[in-house]
Amino acid sequence: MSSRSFNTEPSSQSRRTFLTGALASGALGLTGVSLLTAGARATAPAAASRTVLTGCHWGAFRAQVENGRMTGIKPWEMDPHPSAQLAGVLDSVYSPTRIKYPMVRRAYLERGPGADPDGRGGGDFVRVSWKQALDLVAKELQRVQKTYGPAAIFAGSYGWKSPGNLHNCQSLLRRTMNLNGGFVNSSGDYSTGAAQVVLPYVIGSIGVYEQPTAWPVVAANTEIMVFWGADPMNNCQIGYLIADHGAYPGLEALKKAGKTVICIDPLKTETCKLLGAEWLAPRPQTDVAMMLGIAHTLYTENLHDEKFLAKYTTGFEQFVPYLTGKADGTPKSAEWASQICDIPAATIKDLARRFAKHRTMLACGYSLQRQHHGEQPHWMIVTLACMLGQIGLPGGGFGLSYHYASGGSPAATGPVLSGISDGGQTTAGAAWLSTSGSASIPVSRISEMLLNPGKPFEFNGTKGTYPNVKLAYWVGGNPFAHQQDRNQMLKAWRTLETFIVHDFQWTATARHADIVLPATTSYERNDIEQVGDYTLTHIVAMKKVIEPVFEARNDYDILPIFPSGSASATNSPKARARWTGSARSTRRRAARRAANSSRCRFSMPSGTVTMHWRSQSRTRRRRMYSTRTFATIRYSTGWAPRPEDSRFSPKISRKWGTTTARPIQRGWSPPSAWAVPPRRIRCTSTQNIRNTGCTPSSAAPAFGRCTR
Amino acid sequence: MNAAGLEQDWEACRNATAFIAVWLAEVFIAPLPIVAVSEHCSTDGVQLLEAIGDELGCRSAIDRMRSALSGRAAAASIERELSIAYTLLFEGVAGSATVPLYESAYGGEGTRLFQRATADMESLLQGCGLSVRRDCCEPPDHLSIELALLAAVLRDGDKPRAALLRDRLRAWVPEFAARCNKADGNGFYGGAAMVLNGLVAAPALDDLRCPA
Repeated sequence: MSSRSFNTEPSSQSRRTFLTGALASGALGLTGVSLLTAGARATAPAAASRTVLTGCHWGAFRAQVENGRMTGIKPWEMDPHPSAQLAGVLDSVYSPTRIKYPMVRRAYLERGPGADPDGRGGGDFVRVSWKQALDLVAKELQRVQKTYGPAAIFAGSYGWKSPGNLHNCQSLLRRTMNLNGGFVNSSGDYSTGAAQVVLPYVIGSIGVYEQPTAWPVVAANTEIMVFWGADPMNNCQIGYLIADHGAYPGLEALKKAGKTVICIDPLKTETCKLLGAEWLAPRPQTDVAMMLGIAHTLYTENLHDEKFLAKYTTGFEQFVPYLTGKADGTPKSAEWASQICDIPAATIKDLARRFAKHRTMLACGYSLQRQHHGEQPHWMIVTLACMLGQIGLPGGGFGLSYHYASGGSPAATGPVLSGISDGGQTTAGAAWLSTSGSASIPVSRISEMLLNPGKPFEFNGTKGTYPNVKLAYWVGGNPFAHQQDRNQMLKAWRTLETFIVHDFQWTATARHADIVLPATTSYERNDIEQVGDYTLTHIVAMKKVIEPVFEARNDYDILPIFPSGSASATNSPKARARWTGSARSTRRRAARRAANSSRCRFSMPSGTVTMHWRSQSRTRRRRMYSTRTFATIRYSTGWAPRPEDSRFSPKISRKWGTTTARPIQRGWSPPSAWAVPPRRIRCTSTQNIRNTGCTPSSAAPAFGRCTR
Repeated sequence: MNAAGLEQDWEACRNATAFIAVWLAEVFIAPLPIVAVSEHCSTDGVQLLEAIGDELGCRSAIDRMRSALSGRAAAASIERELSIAYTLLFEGVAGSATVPLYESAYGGEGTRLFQRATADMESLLQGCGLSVRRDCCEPPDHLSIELALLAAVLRDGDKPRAALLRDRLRAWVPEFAARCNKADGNGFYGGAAMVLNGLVAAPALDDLRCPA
């Protein structure tokens, strides 16, 4: 008797025979081609287990890799305050919503540009090969260029992309578009759209992306710290480059120093909670009124600094009639302000008196200016600071970036890496503000532009005309997340004939595209980047962690799309030569730096090395061991060479207390050969100390370092 | 019935099961091309589908698949609808509503792909002297690759490995099938997921030990 559980009846047997024969006959359209093949896959054997140092907007980290898969993330040991969000990196790389293959919207594929614009966002995509996708893109760029001209192509492509100086997808896109004959760029950004425009007229520079007074100086000298619409505890988790999180030691120092902290914010922020701050919650978007109320009190009680205003400002005499009401009959008193901002008048007056009496730092966030007349808050807070007359005094004045990318963390004087260029000029401190392109529109007016081609517009004292854009190309960004008025945006997007997107995730923007190309994450490619938007303390060789997943490609490899009508154009030697011509030199320079940095022992933030240096010429090598150079080494790494492995000159050895002094050795030993006990390094130059706020008496600064 | 006969029956059973696994692998690896859609709608195709339903005891699931294929004027129209459904269900376009086709997403480590299951399947493939075809960019824990391997080991009569794969599939396919069924309740892929569920629960996979 059979113990089998399957049916052995004749009908079952004939059915099984029927099924078995179906495959051979190609029934049900089965191809019969297996997904499997005999033999092992011909890939380079991956080390069973390794750790790779790299970085992201949330900080530097060591990725654990096992058999070619990223399995864990450990924050970089030198990170003073790793972000909890770092764990999300794994989710981003291995999300089920990764874009796997090139995809084209079905209607676009079948009927061409402009087909069924209302169908965008419906998710009806067809997988295509890379060759087909790139041909489509190349031909479309050519068609639009020839039919409408370069001003019909928008490649402003705003977004935060990923860190990395070579694989800067936005620069790469603009580079391609420049080679294609031009494009429409975007100017400004969403973060400080109003403030960055007005501040050059107020303080002579962009202000919002400039280093404020360093935290050590604030902790030592500021008596009242005011966070106005700023939450560094939350926002400093990220950086545009690799976040250094230098704000957190600063906040801790502030807390430890027991300074008075006032948070003026409709929300009780994480910063407020950490510091046990006084919390004042004005009505949203009434900050200017509150500031005017404070200013009025300062003026009427003669608490403002007339000498400072006379010597360092211009225009105060035009402001006073408005402030006092002489100009319009409405004094901007604390009572007047109270009715608008809902903060008691007595509190407003008290703030004015306290600010005047104590060394006050006004730390202003970007949130205040995201409103109509958004140029007013930053303009007014600078005015207020001028009335207090403490700008330039240690710990006084205003700072516009304490909440962003750890502004205030003392800066290094290391080299600044250049990245791949898009042919335009960038603004110092804001690498995304590029002047590249034939024309430009303010970044958030994209919907207005698409809906009103030919309409004149004004921006920052200039006048322009909206171009008639037919094609938009977006990389490293998600406008369907950050652009205002989604309904208007959807309406505007219907005017596009073609919308092309690179991304690694199916964002809302990707879903609304016609052609979607899967890009790698920064963990699937080699790159190089610096740590700390303001501090630039380290350079990280962002080594590839894993191989690209699915069919993802680097933007660098996708983007030399030269329209010639030929299917092979995108990969023709000539095309690539044009693309890589200067890109190659940039890449080589970056690679040399990375290589030199390892030879020079200073580039890898491994805990045993500190500072990058560019060359290893003998002359420079000697200089590396000079007193001045050692003054630039970051204390916090605690690096020092082993005495028995000393490469110091006798002079340095005496100064720094090394036990042996030998002549500088030729050649190099690998970083792994250095065992380094932590030790403190004292700043030797008082000039250097003053620049960062360190005091000569401090044994060593808790963070930051002496600069030249 | 003697042992030889039983063995013959067992061979027929596992070959039939292997065919079903291959068919499901092609159903879930990519949207069905128009040729395959036409075949599914043909008379022979309908007979085959019914035979599959009878073999696995899941006629209702097969009927659901058939209803998604019927009542249309042209195969092109059906092919388009199936492609839309496949893309929205499995390709990630739908965001968090995506039903992943990878064992890793059901391993209790969240929904991340390329988890331990990927490495385990890689080892299994190597043990069988196989690898994923070069032009297939999917990780080895993709449902279709696991089904393809199951079919291969069943055809080879490799019972121990077939048992291993059976156990792997039984650990995650029910959850996958439930999610797919929920997302595509009346559709082709919801039905296919239930057929898949029937496959992994098939009696032929229960008895992978040597014949008595």
